[in-house]
Amino acid sequence: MRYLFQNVMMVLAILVTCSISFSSQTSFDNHLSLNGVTKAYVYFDISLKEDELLVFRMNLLDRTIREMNESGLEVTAVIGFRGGASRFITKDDHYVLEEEVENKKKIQDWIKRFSSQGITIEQCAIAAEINDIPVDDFLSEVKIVGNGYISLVGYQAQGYSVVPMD
Amino acid sequence: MKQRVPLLAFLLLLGALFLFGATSLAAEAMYEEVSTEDMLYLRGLISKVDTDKMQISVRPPKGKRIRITIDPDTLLEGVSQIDEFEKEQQVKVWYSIDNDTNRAIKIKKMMELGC
Repeated sequence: MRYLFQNVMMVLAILVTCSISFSSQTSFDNHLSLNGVTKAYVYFDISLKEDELLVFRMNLLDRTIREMNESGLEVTAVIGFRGGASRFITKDDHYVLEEEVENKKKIQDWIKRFSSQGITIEQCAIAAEINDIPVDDFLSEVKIVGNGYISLVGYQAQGYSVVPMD
Repeated sequence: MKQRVPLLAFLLLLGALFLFGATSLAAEAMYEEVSTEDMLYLRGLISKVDTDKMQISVRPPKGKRIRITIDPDTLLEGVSQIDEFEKEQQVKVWYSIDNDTNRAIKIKKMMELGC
């Protein structure tokens, strides 16, 4: 009976410790960095070519924008695609390997979702040319810009913060 | 006579340069990025590399993968041997069909640019 009592107490202690640990994790915030900030202008620079990582980054990007909104910020965001990431925002199952098609569909869904939220999606025309992708093959939500590097410079000059995702 | 020697050398050099340029242009023209009667052209991503069979599979932007066989006569550009090819690399391939085999004439590995 004594052993049973000791075991129950031990389990309870572990549960309480975990619960304290979990609650402290969820209470993290960015109040220091966001002190006095009411608006956020963000340029997400996406150039990575691995499909799984790209899907993960889309989730992270969504979470980042959502958490900024929840913190009371008015967010204006641009997602700029270049390099190997370009082929994942084209129509249908084109420009990717067979095993990348499933993740490409997820990325396409994210692009439609981001666009419906008022987020600007840009694609560098130079990257499109280098990758031999005609501009008409990109999703209709994607805006083609002449030079992605100039976009980076221009948005930064306008006060946008650049978040690299490479 | 003394003045003629440098002039002759200059003309010979000019001729050699012209021939070199013409040869280079002819070689470039031979590998146009279109399919012809003699040679088929393909650009796409490498989906598989089989070094034992000396084959790579290439998926064009819109279509199914095509298996390409490399032989000792295949010209390689951007790599020096087949095991330097990797999945997801972009390549340009010029090949001919020989007994139901797609025999590579030239394979050019494209540069990966971050832009």
